[in-house]
Amino acid sequence: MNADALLISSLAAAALVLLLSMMFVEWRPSVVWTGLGAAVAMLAVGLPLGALVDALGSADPSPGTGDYQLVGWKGDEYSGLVYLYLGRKGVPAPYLAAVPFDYESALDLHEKARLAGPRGELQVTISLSEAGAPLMRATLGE
Amino acid sequence: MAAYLALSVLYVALVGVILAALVTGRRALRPLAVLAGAVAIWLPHAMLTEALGHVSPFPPNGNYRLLASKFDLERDTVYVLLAGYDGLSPPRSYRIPLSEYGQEKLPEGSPYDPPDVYISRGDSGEVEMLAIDYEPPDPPKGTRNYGQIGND
Repeated sequence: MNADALLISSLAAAALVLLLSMMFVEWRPSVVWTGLGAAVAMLAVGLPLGALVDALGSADPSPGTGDYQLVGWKGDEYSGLVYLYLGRKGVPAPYLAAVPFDYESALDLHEKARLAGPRGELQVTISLSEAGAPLMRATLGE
Repeated sequence: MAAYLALSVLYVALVGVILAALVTGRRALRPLAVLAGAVAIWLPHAMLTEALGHVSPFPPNGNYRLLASKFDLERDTVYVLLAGYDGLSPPRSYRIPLSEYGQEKLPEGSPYDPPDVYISRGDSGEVEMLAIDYEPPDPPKGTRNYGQIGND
């Protein structure tokens, strides 16, 4: 996602610069010039908005630190990520976060989820390592 | 309002200012347009980064594994975490309006034995999600397996 976001942002920035430079070309406003400007503006708006629709629903690799209620999770050893579906206090919609996969915390989460059962509550605390990577620790809810 | 929505509205407004300066050809609008451009150029990346993690209101059609679900009966909505069958694509989060099939027919998600759901969008735009018993089809007989070493 980061590479896609950078590419789309760069294309939108290029369209914006083109739009701004068109403004300083000493031509009289005409139908063709206005149409060209409108097309570039549509490109500048459409590219990021289209990418925004695609980005919605994807996991956030840099979730905020704090305590969350765990709604669901999926460990993906191949991509090296654990996807956490997190409930937040006062916000009805859950939040999808991705934290780096490591066996110790994944096994801990697996064991806690087994102990909690399908209807049990599980809390997850997300913190940052010294290197700045998100870490997770699961605790059984009361 | 979510931050990504506010940023999107601001971005569209700023591009509108630049376009207005271009179309009208007024010199007085140029400094304002340059300022708008200087701010707008940073917004797409901020919008896309802010949008990550939030639920999407545009669920795709098809069969999916339901990894988790959370009901919001006040808003007649269910939030679902769906994964594809290929096991390669990352799971995604969607918001689906509760239909008449609703809560009682939707199975609970579990990371160990995720149930299957079918999502479809009707002609009038309403989204329907049904629990199904789906088995991915076997590969056709006679096709070469991955990793097989051929003679050609």
